[in-house]
Amino acid sequence: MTTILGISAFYHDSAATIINNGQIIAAAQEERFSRIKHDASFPKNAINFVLNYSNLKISQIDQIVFFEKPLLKFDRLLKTYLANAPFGFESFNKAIPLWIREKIFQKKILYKNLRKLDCDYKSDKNIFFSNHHLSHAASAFFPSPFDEAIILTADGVGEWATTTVAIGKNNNLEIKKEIHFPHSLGLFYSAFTYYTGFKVNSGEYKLMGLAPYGEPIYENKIKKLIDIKEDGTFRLDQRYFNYTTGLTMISEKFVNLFGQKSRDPLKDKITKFHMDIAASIQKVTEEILIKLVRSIQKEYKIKNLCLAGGVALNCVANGKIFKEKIFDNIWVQPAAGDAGGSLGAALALWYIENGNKRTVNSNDDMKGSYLGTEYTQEEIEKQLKSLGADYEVLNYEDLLNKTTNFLSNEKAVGWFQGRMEFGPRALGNRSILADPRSEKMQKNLNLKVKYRESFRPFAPSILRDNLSEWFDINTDSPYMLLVANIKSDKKIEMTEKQKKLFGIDKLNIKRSKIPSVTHVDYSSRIHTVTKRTNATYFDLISKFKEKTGCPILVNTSFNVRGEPIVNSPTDAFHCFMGTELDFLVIGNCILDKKKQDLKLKKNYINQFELD
Amino acid sequence: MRIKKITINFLSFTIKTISTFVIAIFFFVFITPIGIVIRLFKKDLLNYKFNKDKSYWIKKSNLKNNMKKQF
Ligand SMILES: [Fe+2]
Repeated sequence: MTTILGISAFYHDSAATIINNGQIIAAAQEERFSRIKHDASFPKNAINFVLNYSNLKISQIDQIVFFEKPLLKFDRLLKTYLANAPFGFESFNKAIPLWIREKIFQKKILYKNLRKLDCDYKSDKNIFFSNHHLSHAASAFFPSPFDEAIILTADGVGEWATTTVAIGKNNNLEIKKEIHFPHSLGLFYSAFTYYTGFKVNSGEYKLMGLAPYGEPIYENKIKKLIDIKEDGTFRLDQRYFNYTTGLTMISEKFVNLFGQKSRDPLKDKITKFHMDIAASIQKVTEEILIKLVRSIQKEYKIKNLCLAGGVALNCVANGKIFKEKIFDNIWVQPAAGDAGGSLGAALALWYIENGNKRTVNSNDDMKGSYLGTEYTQEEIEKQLKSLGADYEVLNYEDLLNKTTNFLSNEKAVGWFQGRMEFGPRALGNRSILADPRSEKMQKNLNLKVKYRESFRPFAPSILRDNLSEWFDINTDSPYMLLVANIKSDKKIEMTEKQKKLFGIDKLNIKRSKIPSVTHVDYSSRIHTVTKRTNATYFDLISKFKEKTGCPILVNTSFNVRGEPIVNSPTDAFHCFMGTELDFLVIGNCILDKKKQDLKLKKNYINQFELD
Repeated sequence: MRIKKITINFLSFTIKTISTFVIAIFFFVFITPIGIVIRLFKKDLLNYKFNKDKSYWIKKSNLKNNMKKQF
């Protein structure tokens, strides 16, 4: 038995993964434990969890691997300043102390931190270093259901690479070519995230959600910032950006080109301008990705595609790639961001460096991405009791029946079952659920439960077998990483008058039989559910279908704006009490808001920094 | 108490100033002239310039990634 601990830290999303003889045993992001969104510190809690889950101590782990190479990043940093000096002193002055403190001596720091967790851990000889994009690529290929595939990774930046193409064959994976910093599709998108007043590294998902409200009228202007080749490779005109050595994403010249200053999220409203910008950058991004995907397919002639890196979380673009039918099969790593680097690094070490055999799993090796914490009924009740919660314990059948009744009566339900999801999406184990047929649900959930912007869409969880009756695709999307359109017979066409409505006003029109999960452009972020990956959730939706004829539920992550997804029953109870959720279902317990002691209510939302 | 606080503030201020000073020397005495010389020789360290080639891909040279190393 060989165990490998993969660690991703000190950059975006810290996380830990443990694999045993190549099998993924447990994985989790640090933010879920520390309750700090996108926590980038050393993931001691996540490491403790994956170790406890496998009954191991640090000193018993065979190999430990970090997801990137710190010194290569330092090389990039120095060259970037060399290319810009004398400009960039302010940012240099900020970066250097940080580097001296934590990055140059990364191995030592890792060792010291690991030793704090287990004093029997006595030598750093078993610490390895993968490579940022190799980790992404490995996370996309090795767990995939393919024996052979082309892997495309794209993100902000790793060491030097921002985009890579790799070929995976059985237990091997080789990066063939790359695009290097500062030319980055991730940073390109983030520049617009910044410009439209959202938080870089987390607001990209919002920008994507805003895009369908606008028209892509700035496409040509955006193309002045970037030179795109026929094969989809690109360079960014750095005169418009400021992220290499500046303290912001974009330059004066960028602002002048579009004619409005960056939106201040505290003061400025989202207007048609921002919607049009969102639509335009989304369109250009899709064009680049489709060109890239088409050219690499032509060159390597393999019919399977794997995707990872932050850009692969752009499920709208993924949906377009899928529709183009360039590849027969596409598989996207659910933890496509840097958290997934911990998983990829561990797998890269096991297969590439150690040369172990790989057996391809036709379903994929991610176990539905349910790789996180779980709580027994006993533990759940213990936590609820100590919190002073009022709850009722039901058997499985009654639990499903009751929950279905709440849902069909337009109640919002917090749903906490089984193991926590790894990656940014909630997939029915730490989810807030509702009835998609309800017309007011989108607004309600956004404003009263999630406390977030009313324009943001919700995703449907749908029984896999019913997918093609409702949407125009027929493929698995177990990780909510594909967007598809609603079938025309479920659509309610807008009248001419309604079509002319502007932006967010369109939200109030009933667009389909499942309005709360139909975005203004009739698209949805699909989450397919099967008995195999999530039996409880499957049973619940089936019960809902039995009662209402609708095989779909609204599924959104169990948290409020700016908060990491809930991890423990305690987190869930706090979120339940701090919002207008009507019911909370944890394990076999049901909690009714009306029966709770109102003194337990807290001002919840102000705890979290707005994203 | 107050004196202690003032001393701590003063010390941390001094350390910050010294560190900024050292970093400034490093930046303007080493990085800047070297950077300028490199650019005088027309070396485009970050591939800033657009070109007329067919592709911007950089072929990965066959250096095998050594996971033992931090570079
Ligand atoms: Fe990354």
